[in-house]
Amino acid sequence: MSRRGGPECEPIREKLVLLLDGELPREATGEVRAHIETCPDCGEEWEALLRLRRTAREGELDPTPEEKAAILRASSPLLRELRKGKGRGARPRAIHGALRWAPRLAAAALVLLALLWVTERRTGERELRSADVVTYQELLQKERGTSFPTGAATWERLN
Amino acid sequence: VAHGEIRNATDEEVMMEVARGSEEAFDELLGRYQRKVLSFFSRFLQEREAAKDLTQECFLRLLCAARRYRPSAKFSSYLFTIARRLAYDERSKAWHRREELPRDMPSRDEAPDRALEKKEAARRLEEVLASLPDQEREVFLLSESAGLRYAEIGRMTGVPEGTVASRKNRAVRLIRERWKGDWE
Repeated sequence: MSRRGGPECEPIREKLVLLLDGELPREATGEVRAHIETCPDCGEEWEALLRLRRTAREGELDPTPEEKAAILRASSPLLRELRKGKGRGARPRAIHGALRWAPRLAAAALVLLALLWVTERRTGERELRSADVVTYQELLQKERGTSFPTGAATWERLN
Repeated sequence: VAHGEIRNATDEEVMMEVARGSEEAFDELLGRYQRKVLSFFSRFLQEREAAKDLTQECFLRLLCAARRYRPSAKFSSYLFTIARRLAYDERSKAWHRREELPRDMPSRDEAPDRALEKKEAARRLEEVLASLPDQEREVFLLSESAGLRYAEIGRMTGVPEGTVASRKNRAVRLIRERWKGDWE
């Protein structure tokens, strides 16, 4: 490859590919463009780069209709799975399932709570009654100054 | 994206529709990228038949990973990350299966002379690309075929952006040196 142009062309040539790829900083673009327009050698270099890009684009292979059809055929089951929401990362469906079961779970929890409450209440009543007996015994003991015989008979009478 | 508006949607929006299983969106993506991906594989491996198979594999892998795609990632970068990995895997498996690229028939809508000229230039370019060192060829293809930015190529290949720029410059210089005939 022959490189023509003056010494001022060298730094510009280094930047031509960057300019072509849109990677040159904005502040440098003006300077390079202005040089290309006034320097025939660098202008030619720039044209050559544009030709290379055009050739690379034009030389791209066109897929045949059969190749596209084959990809579409093979992709069909995967797209179906995606529509169903299956596969990795299908979190929305899992959340949806949990939400569907939520009312049933809440109802079951309520029944359980109610059962616990009833059981608790009965136990409380029984304890209250026992406490009453003890208090009654204590009262009699104070009035009579004697101990009161406890036993099954007293329980039966009190209950 | 509303039904029928997929053609005006960005690549990222189309990909999000693909992740929901839209066949129309997938068809659109194929229309936009099948040619680029096929050319990338063909130029990277110099094997038309393998390029065809890998293009299919690449799009199927894209579908398998569709639910993990987030629109914050540029679609072309995402797609060519898959393509690049496949290309390296294939090359390590089948380096020996090289064969000449078939010459396609000229398309109907251009003069035969011009079409032949274009095919000949394309064939020469394939030859020159095949002779480039790996790193330079890879950067050239990711930049020209895939249209990726230097920063994206850098992330993909694990090198700084400045190194990508140097490799691209060097690739272009080598192509120009090795191109025989009517380049100048």
